[in-house]
Amino acid sequence: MSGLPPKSSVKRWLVTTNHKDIGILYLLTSLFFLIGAGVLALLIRVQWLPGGSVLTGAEYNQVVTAHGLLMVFWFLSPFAFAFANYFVPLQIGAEDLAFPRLNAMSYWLYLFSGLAMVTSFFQGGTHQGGWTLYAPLNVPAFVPRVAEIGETTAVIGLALFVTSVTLGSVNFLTTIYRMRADGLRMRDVPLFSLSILLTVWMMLFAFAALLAASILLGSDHLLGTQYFLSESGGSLLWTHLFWFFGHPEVYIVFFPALGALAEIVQTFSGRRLVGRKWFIIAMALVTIQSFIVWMHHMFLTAINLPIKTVFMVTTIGISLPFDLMVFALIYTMIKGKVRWTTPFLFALGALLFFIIGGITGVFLGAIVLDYQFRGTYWVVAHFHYVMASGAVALIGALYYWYPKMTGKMYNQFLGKAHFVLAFIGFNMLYFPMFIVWETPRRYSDYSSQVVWEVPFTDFAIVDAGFTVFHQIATVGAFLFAASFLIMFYNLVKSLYSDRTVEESPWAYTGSAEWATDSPPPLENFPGKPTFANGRLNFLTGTEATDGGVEVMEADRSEPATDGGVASQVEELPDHSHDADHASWWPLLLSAGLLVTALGLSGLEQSYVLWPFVLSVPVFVAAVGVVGARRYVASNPEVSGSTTTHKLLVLGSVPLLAGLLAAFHAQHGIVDGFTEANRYFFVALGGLVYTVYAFVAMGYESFEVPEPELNEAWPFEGVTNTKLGMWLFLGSDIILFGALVGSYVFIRFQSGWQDWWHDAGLPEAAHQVLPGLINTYLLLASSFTVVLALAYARRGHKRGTMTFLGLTFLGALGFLANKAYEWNEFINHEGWTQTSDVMGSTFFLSTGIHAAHVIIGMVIVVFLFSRASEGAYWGEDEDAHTIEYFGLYWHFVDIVWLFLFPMFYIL
Amino acid sequence: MSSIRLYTVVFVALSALTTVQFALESILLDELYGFTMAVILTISTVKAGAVGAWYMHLIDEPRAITYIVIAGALGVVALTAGAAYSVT
Repeated sequence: MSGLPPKSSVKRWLVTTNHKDIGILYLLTSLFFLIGAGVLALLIRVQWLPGGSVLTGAEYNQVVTAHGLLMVFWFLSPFAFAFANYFVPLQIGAEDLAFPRLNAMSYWLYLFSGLAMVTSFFQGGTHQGGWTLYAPLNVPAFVPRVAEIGETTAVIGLALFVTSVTLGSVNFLTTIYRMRADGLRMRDVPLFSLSILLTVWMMLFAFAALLAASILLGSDHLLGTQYFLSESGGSLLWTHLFWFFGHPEVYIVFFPALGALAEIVQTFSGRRLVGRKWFIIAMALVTIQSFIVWMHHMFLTAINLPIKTVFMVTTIGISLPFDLMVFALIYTMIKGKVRWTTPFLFALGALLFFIIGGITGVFLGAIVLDYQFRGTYWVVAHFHYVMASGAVALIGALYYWYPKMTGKMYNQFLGKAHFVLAFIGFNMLYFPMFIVWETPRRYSDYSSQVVWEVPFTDFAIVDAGFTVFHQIATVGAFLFAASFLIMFYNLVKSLYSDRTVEESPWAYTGSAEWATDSPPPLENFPGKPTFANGRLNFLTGTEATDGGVEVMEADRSEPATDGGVASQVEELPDHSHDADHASWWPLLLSAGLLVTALGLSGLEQSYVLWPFVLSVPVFVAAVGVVGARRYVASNPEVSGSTTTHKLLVLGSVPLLAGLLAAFHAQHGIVDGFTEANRYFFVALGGLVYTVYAFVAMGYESFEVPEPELNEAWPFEGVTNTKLGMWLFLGSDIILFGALVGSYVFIRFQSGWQDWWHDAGLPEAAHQVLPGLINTYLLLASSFTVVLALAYARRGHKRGTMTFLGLTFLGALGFLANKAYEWNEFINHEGWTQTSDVMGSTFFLSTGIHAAHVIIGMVIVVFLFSRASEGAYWGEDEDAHTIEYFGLYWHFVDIVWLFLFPMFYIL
Repeated sequence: MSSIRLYTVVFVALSALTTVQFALESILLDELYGFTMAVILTISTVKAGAVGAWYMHLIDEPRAITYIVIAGALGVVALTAGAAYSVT
């Protein structure tokens, strides 16, 4: 599907894969979640008004938890990635992201994961244990029975969100590394895009740890494993996994804001950032350091003093590069001539917030001070200053880039009024919390006198005086919230005004997005951007003036020719009209995953989830009907895989209808919701449809021309797809590593060599042989995959099919052996994943691995089928498919090479 | 060496190393647990490296691809070693 409907059409926003459209979708959706999470914040403040007890204790806990989760995950990062989506390709001179359909899928998974989170409120209640989801309050044994489904939905929603983030990380990394315009060296990439590059590096690895934590937690909920209930450090394991993700997350949230801040300061100071090179080095240093500071969040746990000391040092150490960055920004302002526009005011405000948030954070990095401050409002004030610094900088970015995105200028006075009100409101809200820092966190009711014991003494402070400060904070909260009403009014009204802007409304802008129309056209630029001669030029492959090619200058005021590059440009292919920009499958596939997730959430219980669940397939079916009709109408002559795609599109409608009919026929949607098996059918139906949509997406003809004449250091010589695959595997190393690491941690805590003695499995039943046989089988299947690739490259169809077939048989043998082994354990020895933590780690680790083997087998069937049609011969792009699959399969093999000694030998 | 011959040699080596791991478990693990464990895990690392280098063709790819893998592996080591040491 190639045609992209006009922006006025609703369909466009459902099928678009264009980065600018996706950026706008991210922007609107993240603002939607900002409003939702902001209202929850106001509820928290209202709760503390005198006599204002509007929530029960349990409701208050849910509101606090959901406020944190929604703000951090579903507002802040996606808000930043609205700008990343819109402006990174523009800044690096690319036409789109490397994988446009994957980008659309990231967005839909983000939206649906957020809806799942919101839905959890209405399933008996969402999580109540705070945004950190600390164990053991996150496991079923400590969750109110009525809220079990909601809790599980929240966890699965988080896992969906992480999936979205991982896809996005792979996409942005591939794009920035391999799709920069000719001559744009990595060091010259604009600071916002560089900050996104470092952000997605952190995302790639940090979110994999969160995914591992979510999988283990989901397993504790759905499969009855005992990871976080384990007496062998279960609670501590969660904090390790969570904060290994959680601390980089602080910089993941803040770095895009820092990049935007640097751009804004440069533009409105009218000069290049002072110490730009060192600023970049400092950011890169923080990116690495962010992974070795996580235990400073755990100073009050049972970890030993030497490790606390090490992490105190690394924590203080990470503040140093930030000092450099702050001074670089301040000095740039001093050296330049500042223009006090709305974006600049927000950037300055953000910098002030960050300085306050950063300095107060250093206090928490010191072990002794943290013993005092932990669990108080000092922490609340500190992290809100840091987080709000990011949010405020990004609001500045919205004011900075709004004219580019819309082609309209807003009212500057209202923008500044927004800033003044927000600045006063925010400081009224959070600064008093530093003053009354002794206030304990997480209380739902301060109406009675607060009793706060003075540590190490017999004294207790009975202090109602805190109330005044908290009431000031509440007034500040409402002022802060009100300021956003001004922003919404200003921006929406300006959208329909006649204050149009050309390329750039600001003086001294330096990056490529300002050298094209506002808003930019679908292909972004009037020609192929190049920095080959040190400045931005556009090459067009069509209008030759002297037998060469016309080259237009960046400001496009006086198009000029440059015979010097003509010979280079004669070869310039013009793919712009070949690229596809629309596909239904990202939406449909994501919807399938949502249905699966919602089905999984209630496998233990049944609840009033059905209207929501059913609305999704109805919606999907509706768009499927429209999409299929349009597709057939616009593609009269289709053949090969496109014919298959057409059939899949058409087939999706009866499949969805069949699923709906089955639900209605068996259960109805009005009453009788007492059996858990309905959730099973939803999960099963969702899974079937997800697999189906995945295959259909694979068959869809979707052209994304690999750019030529571009900078690809340091990944020259590999395709975008191969780099994307390797990045995905890099993330998977952390995912599996965290799963195995969790096992190592619990076993270590439990006593390494006593592990199997303590298990509910007779030692005689714990044999090496099944693992050994499976190791041989998997190694053999890896061998047959590379042979299939070698024969495909030689154009040997029969050899290719034979070795693909043997790969399938090797995997089948692996699963059969595993099934026999599991049958012995479960049915003869009575040892399961619920028996003890040994069983939990064994069955889940090897089970997740087996699931990867099964996924691989599905793909092998797909490859075998296509190979039988004559695909994958020679050295063309299609032939690489077996190689890409091989990367996945060998990785699954490598994981087993570690599972074998860990679970069978040692 | 043709690619098929190379792949075959790697497969034979991987299978042989697996057999060595099994033999070590049978002969030495009970007597010298720590040492044997270290050797067995080192062999697994070598096997993983061989699969990565030749079956996944890391040896022929730009070195930066190998750095991605190393970065992921370092993350795992930091998390596992840091967490395990924290409870000693």
